[in-house]
Amino acid sequence: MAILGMKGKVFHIAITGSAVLILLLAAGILYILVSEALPAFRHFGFFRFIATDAWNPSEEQYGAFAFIVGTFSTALLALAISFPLSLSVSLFSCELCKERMVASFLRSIMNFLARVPSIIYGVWGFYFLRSLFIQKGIGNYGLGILTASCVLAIMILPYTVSLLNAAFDKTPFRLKEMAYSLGANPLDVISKVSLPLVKNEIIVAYLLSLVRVMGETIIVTILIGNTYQMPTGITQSGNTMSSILINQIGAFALLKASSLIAIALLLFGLTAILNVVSKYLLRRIPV
Amino acid sequence: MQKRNIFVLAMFFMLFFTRCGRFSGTSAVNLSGMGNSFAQPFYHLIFSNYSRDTGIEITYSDPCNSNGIRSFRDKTVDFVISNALLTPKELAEFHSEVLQIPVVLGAISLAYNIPNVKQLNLTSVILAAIYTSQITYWDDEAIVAVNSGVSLPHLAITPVYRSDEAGSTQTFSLFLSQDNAWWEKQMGISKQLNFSKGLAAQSSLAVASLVENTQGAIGYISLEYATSFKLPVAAVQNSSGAFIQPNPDTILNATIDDGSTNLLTTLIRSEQTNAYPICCYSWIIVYRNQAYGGRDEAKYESMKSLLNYLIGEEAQKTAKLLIYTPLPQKVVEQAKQLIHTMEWQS
Repeated sequence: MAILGMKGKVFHIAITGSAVLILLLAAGILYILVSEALPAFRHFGFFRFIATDAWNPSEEQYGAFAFIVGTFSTALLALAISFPLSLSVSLFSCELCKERMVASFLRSIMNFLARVPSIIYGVWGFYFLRSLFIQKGIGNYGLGILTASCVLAIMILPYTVSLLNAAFDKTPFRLKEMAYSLGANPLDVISKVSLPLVKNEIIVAYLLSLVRVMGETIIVTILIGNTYQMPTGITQSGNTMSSILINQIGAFALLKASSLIAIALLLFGLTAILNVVSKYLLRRIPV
Repeated sequence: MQKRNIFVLAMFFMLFFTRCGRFSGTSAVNLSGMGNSFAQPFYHLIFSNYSRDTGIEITYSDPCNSNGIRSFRDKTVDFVISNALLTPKELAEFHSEVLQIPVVLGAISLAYNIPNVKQLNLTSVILAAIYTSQITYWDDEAIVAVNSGVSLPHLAITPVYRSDEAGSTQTFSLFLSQDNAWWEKQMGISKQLNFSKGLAAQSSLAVASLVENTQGAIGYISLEYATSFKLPVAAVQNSSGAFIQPNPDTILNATIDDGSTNLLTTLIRSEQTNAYPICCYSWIIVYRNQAYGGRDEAKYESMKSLLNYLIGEEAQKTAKLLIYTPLPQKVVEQAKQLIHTMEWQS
């Protein structure tokens, strides 16, 4: 510190301060979530709150089960729809046609799409995809888990692709050249060299995409139908954890407000767990 | 030495920022409020007119109903606007007296989307059955029975309701509970109900848009939204048995005196023969004693002037332009008296 001088000291204090501030902020958010969620957990019991399907203000009965189911079914369905597409697009631009104009063009388009605000996908879903579903007779009113998942799948595609691209870019060029010189065809190289090398990173790419899809609010609120019952099929309407929050935010009654914050805390916890798993998977990869 | 320099610098900045705050604080009075979507178009217009004429700035936002009431209870906003009176449960959480002053009249209309049907009669019994999926098709016997001469298609009914806590839901459920004894016990009278079927959306605007885009849909929204979306609205049967379309006249008829002098009544199912049965006031709610949270007298005076402006002739005329109904003279007088009881006493 002594040799840093005045400017150095200020700089040192400023950056340390910012780092501490971020930590405090995260702790503060967690503290508020936990303390505000406690009344709901105390009243209903933690596991009963998670496992109960109820959102009934006149009887003051609240439970998160229907929304947890809504969140997972929407998110997993969206990933299932986008999985084959995102993997193919990424393999195309990173392995098959690397160094070609078309690949770099595809990459810039994907980077652009990843930055499009999600409300735009939502509006497209409401006015186009929904009418298509109604015409084809899919679902009751064209709104529901399936509609939301389809649009989420399109929204998440460029994000997943950019994560996958980063993973495939890590595969050593020389190793692949060696495989080719031994007479391997592109399919062999992809399946026997590239994929096994970055297996964990591919899993992480999908885990992070899952986190993003689970937290997506606006698309879901426009397209899922916002009903409080347990969905019985993928064409049914429902609510996810993030859409129930946006639908009911500002609730006046204490127990209801606390139940909402409890749902927010659950979403926070799920996100944290998935992030920790991702970190763990990435640490095991030899560079 | 250096440490002291930094300290002086920090003090200087702190002083500078507090001074800035003071300056902007005294330059103009700023009132803040929250409301809901029921009469949103009216308030947005009227507040901007008022700010233009007086220089008093009004910060106004309209999230869901409860959000505003919550902020008002916590005294983070100066007023809140609602189309449902505060419930006893809500009132119990306020520690000082509040005034609920009517500003304009409106109706909860039932907008529908049935191809080639421009005229539709409904009763509260039918509506309750639709919203609990006991009636699921538009050509149901019960609906056909009150719509002679209208050919109703065999089309599934999609009831649309509000997903947030809404004054409109409270007013609508209050209306449904009047003729359907089971409603209150089974569904309740509340700002959010547990409907078993249909679609939900977050504001009057979103409900209107869903109805517009869904064949067979029906939704309860403020008349202004139905009109601006060019959606047909149903004529609803009132206490006298007549089917009445909502319009400024039939809404005004709901206020014709039935002998009670209590202003804080709902306008559900008026006894008048030509009154629309689902009407309500839009209320502005303020604290009676304005000396709280370090507020100065200037703020109290401007709050009072805003209230008087809202029930004044000019604002009431503007209401008419936006398909809301001006208050009858008798109610204006009562509102004036209420405003008169406001005070600034520390």
